[in-house]
Amino acid sequence: MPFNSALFLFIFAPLTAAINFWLPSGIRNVFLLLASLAFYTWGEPKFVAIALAASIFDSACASLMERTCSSRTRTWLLAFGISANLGLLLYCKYLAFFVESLQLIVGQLGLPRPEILLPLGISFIVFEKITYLVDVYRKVSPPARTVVDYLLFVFLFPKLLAGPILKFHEMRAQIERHVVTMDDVETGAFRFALGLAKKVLIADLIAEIADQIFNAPAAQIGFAESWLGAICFAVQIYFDFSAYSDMAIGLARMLGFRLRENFNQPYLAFGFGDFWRRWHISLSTWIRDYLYIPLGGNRGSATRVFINLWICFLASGLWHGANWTFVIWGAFHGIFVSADHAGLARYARQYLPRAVGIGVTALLVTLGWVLFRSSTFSQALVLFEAMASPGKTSSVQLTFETDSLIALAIGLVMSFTPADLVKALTERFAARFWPNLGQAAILLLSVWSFGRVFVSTFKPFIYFRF
Amino acid sequence: MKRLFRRPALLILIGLTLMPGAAIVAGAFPSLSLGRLTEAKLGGVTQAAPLPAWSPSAFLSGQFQKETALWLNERMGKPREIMIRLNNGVGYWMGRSFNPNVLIGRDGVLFPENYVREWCNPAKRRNRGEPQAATIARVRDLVETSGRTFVLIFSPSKPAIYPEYLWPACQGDSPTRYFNQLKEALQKYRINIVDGNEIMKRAKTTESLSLFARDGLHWTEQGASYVVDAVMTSVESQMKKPLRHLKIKDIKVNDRPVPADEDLGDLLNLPFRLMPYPSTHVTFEVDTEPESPRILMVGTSFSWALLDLIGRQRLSDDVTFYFYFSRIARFAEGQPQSSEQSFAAEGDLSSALKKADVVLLEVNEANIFSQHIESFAKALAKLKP
Repeated sequence: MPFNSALFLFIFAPLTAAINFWLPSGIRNVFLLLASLAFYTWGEPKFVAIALAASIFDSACASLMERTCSSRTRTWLLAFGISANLGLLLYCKYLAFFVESLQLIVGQLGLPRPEILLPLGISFIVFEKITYLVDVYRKVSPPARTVVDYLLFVFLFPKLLAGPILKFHEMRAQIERHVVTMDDVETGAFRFALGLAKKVLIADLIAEIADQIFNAPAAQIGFAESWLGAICFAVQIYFDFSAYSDMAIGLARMLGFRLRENFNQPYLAFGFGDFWRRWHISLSTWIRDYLYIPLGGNRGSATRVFINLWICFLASGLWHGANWTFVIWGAFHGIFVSADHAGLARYARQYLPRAVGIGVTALLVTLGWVLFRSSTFSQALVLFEAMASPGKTSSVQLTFETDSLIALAIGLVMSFTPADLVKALTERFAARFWPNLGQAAILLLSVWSFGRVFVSTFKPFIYFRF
Repeated sequence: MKRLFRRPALLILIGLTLMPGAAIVAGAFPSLSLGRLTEAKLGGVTQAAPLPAWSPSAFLSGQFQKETALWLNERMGKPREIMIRLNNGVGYWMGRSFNPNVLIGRDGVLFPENYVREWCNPAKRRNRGEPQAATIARVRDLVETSGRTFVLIFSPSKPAIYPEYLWPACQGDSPTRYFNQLKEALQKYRINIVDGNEIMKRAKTTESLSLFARDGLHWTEQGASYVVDAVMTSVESQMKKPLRHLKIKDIKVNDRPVPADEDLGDLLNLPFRLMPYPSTHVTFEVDTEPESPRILMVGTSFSWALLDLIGRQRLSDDVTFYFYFSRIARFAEGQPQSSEQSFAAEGDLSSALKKADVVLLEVNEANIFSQHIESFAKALAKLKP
């Protein structure tokens, strides 16, 4: 049930939020767990039993870890639990990729390509389950008070499909006791509505341009169009992903949970290190806390640190998808993050104006998005070639709707305008004319967004032939 | 609740979110008399979503969930209609049609997407004209063997007549276009053809106003009248007796198109009426002294205008029309009758053909493979000689 579907917007979400608000706090968790399981089962009826069983397995592992005094046993339980979770992820998401890649390297082995449907949200679910096991192992947090609490942590529906990735120790207190106030409902509702507008009125429109360009034969794309496609995808992916985060954070707030922000104006980053402190923050902090630090982090020789960074970024790339383009994209970011770590960021900040540093970072990140969006590495190379050939014109006809171009312009302005400047201007304007200007604007956008959601399934004809 | 009322914006947002669900509830309980909430008046037709059928396999495959979502969506009534129209209105002002079946061309001229696709894209296969020409020739032979006069009518396609309004523009009219393949193949069969495409192109050079409605899929009454006149001329020359003809007595121009000329506009489902444009309203005169043949016509939606002119203007006092060789409409002495019953034509054909003097087969140039041609041919072949 996607957030931008009529069934979710007008039936599931309002019903769940209303019932949750009025329920006594003692049974809220049970209700929310049932609602979350219903949400997940609706979209993923085949996998839900496996996800539930795996979660109960984690819960058992964590309980055993807590009860045993032997550090060896605890380590074995942790290793077993993480292996089981990663094994599930590897099987569901990467088996076909590994088989194909193996055959590419060693030649045809006659192995059939496994056809495994990727379960919804599995990448997020597995990472969150790992945080639970590690937090209990590290004694950062005791195990969940009850199995219901733990299952709610795993299946809480606002963040189930596309994050943010939660860490158990950050959520534990809220799961055990969360209060819903009218402020929470109001703030959450308007945050959700803003996210919905970002998704259906901006991201989806820009996607039409990006998709046209990336779906056309790469060799037929010219200089201007290749840059347009790269920029469009850069804006699209930011608005799409941050919109989902807005909706998740808004929904969670309406239910009484406060989730961390997942984006912080990433295109205003100065350097790649800064970019990853602003982009998909929940993933980058997960990688830092549960992969980079266990590998040794910043401790050890410079070579060791670079290896650790590389492992992390390759893993990050692979996490995004089972394709070599994602791995290469991860390596691309790994190069620049390592360079920052080696002193490039310090040097750049000292000698480059901030605007230039931001511009160069955004440009390099955009080039990275070409790798991310391309379906093959060769497609990306052909597009890079076009981007480096100012004289090359397109030989394929592309048409762009006016509203898509307007959405792109708005997206670019919003991506590069500091949020505090926008906030200051809005507050000054609103204070002078109308205090509720922001909310009124979101209301209008909501009606528009709702209409956009409805039209996606309404395509009438003049008449039926018979 | 008091806390909620102190937050009007939140109250409005909650209200907006609950309205579609309320429409579903109102629809489920008619005794609540909230008909206004449940009735959505959206232009165009869609396949009604069937009641979702639960079964474990349907649920596991996701089919039940898809059906449920569509079914509930349809029941969200007036709130859904308003939101769709508002979205479409904003989109229209930015040049976008939210109905993929309708394209917005230059100067706001609307085009049906499938006709534009046919016009702009070269045909993929050659040698498609001959089999269809042979079928049409078979129809002609069966009709003429039964002692009736036969005329084949080609109705035109809007992009073919007004390609200058297409946006983006395209070359169109490729030599391998199926219509061109068919015309070439028909040459050897010597069928009496009234080519609406050629007639409209000629008329376009002398008429200042459009012969296709700006917001419509079909020709205007004026556009259709040229083809009707050509048909009567062709029938007259075959029957070798004077027949009634249409003469344009007067043309009034105003900005109020007839509803039939706004069908594409209706499909856009906008919250406002489209900008007015000059629409012709023609008054005809017909000398009713000459004979009026009894006509059986088989055709597409373009034939409705032909039927209206022939029947209402009494060019024929007895016209039977088979819409896609399925539904039946008639004009008897200027009075229309039509039936919504589908697939009724075959059962009616024997009696209709017996009393007809003339058989007209109308085919649109954008869809020469329409099933009604083959269905008519098969039904004719089944009739006892």
